[in-house]
Amino acid sequence: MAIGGREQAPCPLIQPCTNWGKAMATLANLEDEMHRLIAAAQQEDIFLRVIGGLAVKVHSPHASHRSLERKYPDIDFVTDKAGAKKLLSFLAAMDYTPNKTFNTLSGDRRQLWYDEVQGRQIDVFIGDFTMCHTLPLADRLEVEPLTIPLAELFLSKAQIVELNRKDILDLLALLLDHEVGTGDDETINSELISGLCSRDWGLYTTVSMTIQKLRGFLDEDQIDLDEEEAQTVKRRLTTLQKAMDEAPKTMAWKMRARVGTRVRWYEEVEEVQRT
Amino acid sequence: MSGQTQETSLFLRKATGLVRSWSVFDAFIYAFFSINLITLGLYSFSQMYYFEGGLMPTLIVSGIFIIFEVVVYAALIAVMPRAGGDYVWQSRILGGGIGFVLAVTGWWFILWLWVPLYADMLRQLFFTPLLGILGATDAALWFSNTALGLFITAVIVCIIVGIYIAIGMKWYSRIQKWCFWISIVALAIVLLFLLFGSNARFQDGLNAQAPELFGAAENVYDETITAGQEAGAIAPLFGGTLGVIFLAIPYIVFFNLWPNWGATLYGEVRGATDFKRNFWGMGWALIGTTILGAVFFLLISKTITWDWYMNANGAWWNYRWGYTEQTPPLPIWPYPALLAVFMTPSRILQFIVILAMSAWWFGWSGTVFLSSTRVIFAAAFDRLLPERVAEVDPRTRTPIWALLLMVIPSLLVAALFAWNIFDFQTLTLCSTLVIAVTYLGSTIAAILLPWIKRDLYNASPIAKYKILGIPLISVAGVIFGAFLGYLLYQWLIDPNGLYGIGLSNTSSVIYMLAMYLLALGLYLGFRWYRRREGIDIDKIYEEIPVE
Repeated sequence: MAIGGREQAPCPLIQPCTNWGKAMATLANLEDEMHRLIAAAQQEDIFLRVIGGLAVKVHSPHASHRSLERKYPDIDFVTDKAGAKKLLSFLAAMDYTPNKTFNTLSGDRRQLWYDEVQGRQIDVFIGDFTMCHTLPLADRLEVEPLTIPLAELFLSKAQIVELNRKDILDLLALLLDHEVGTGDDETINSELISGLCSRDWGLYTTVSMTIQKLRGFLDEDQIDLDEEEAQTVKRRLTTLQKAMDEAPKTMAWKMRARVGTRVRWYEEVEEVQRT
Repeated sequence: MSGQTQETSLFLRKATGLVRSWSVFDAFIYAFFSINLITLGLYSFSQMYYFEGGLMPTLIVSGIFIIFEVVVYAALIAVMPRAGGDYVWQSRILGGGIGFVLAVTGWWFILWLWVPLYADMLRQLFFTPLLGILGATDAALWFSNTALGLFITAVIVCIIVGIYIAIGMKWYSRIQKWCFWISIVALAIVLLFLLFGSNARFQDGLNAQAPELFGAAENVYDETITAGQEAGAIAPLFGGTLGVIFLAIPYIVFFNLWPNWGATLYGEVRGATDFKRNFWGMGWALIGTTILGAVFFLLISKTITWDWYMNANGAWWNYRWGYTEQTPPLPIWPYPALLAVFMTPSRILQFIVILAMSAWWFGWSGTVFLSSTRVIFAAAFDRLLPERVAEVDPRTRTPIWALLLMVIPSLLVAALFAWNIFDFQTLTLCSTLVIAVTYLGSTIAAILLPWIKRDLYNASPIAKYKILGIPLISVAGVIFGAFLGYLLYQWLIDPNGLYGIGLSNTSSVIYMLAMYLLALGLYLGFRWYRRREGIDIDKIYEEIPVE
């Protein structure tokens, strides 16, 4: 199916969903619901990809490790501008209710939808993922069939200045299960990460701080990983930091680096009050 | 930041955080442009030629009172940073009927009248001077002096602002930012012209170029003084008793009563629960504009001379308002930036400076509809308007229905204004009066907030600000409320016959009454309609709307 000249990759991970096409009712199991939505979106020529904790779980068996396991209260998706234009009819047909206020005011960048039967919500980011830093995603939605690529998935967590415990667990799960190297195939693409960080001093700084925090988290034994697992994560963090440090920097990066952290280098993030 | 745990500095954010569209700096620029020195400022200063109070003290004294408005609004925003601003606060504190009627009249209906005013400023700041500099004298004068020229400009205003609304807050903030920096640089150049120019050079430049570019009279400098004196131009730069200064304030607030104009947008501004940030965002806009205004006054006085400037204003408005049929010696609005660049013979430099100065208009013009759309949305979310008016077209992201509700009546009012049907051109200050009534409603809501919504107030970040044990928001509200009361008395009763929009102006009274009756009718009608649908509007007003 061509969308804007691009082809949707086949979805080997998409599980058959017998409900799709018959009843639009949402599914109780969050992962089943995620698959249902992505499969349905693909039929509607919409690039819908998962981001956040559930995306980590798709890729990382260690996300179910007793030490890294966590709850997934909602699903976060990303789509492109073309997909966003179809969201209103698509998600309504999938039995979701929009947050009208939020979507009216911010719907060009992000939309909130509710599954009132299951008492859940989904967030849909449009084009870019904007939090403490902005990650361009729209052009790489075709890399993975279900989720955004691993590099962006890593960055979506690593760009958070005020990390919570769930972010740490997700990052550790990703790093335990994926090598850091070139390419996107079940690999955290260090070239892409270092490329983005070499253009944006703020992103570089926050990601470097996150790497330091992860090391501290492991050193303080706040998580029950065995020594080999901890060493694996540390080694991959070192590889990533090295790639980021060695990538040639732009003039703007160097000038911003001179100013340093005296001036805030990230966007402030707020909690959204929801119904 | 609350919620921080020990050990590894982890936080307790519950879900994926939100970055709102606008930063505090964006809100500052919006406030800065809302009390726009070059558009609103020069427009109102020029009309004040007949006041006896010095414009400098009037500017400063009014600014001091408006600081209390900034306190009131910064506090209300910190308590309830919601799209819709005044509508949400008033409807939740004072009640739905008052909130709806005051908010839709002050933030929606009266903006229809602002469209021809924005258009008048656009043609005088942009079309007329640029066309004149390009040598198209007839076209320049057509835009400047004809009713059709004004109406066509109003259509252009609606198109430009419609585009601004369609591109969304993020892109509008970018345009605003570009315009902000361009306008600051352009103003600096104009100020440098005035600083290093001399009156003799100005006279020579004006007498040589105004006739050539705009068909002005020969010896236009001296002729303008004569025409201005005949028009009764007397406004001084300094001086005047406190009494006459206070009489000038109800006119100057046409320009500077609006640092809070972004109030309805603060649901989309980052960190809006921070009172101090809100205060300084609006406060610096007011302080900075007041200082810039004072500097501009002094430099006009130094080079153009204050008397000549006021005489030119008197000559122009005396003609525009129909007190004389004699075309003024300078047949265009005396735009100080244009007057300043008359001191250079370079047409290219003149064109670039005037074009750059138009960024003051282009960076500001979105304010005519942008704030209003949020009030329309908020009322629609509360079911006081059809849900459709809050719908955004999924393809273009344009709130088409909300825009139509602004644009169509605006064009009708623009036509009435352009051809001066029912004396519509006498209603200019109504545009300020009706909004001041809305502000008074919010100010009363602010005064009562700590008692009516005690829990909400006590849980808010402003609860700690008190003066002699009395909540700061209430103290500031009483002062600003008294100021608004004074303004409304002067406008409506107009004991000295200075403002022309009071009870003696039948058109003004009918126009304003019609707006309030329309708002009341809408409120009662939708309330009745929703009750038939089984929706209790009062229950909606008991809830604070979600973000």
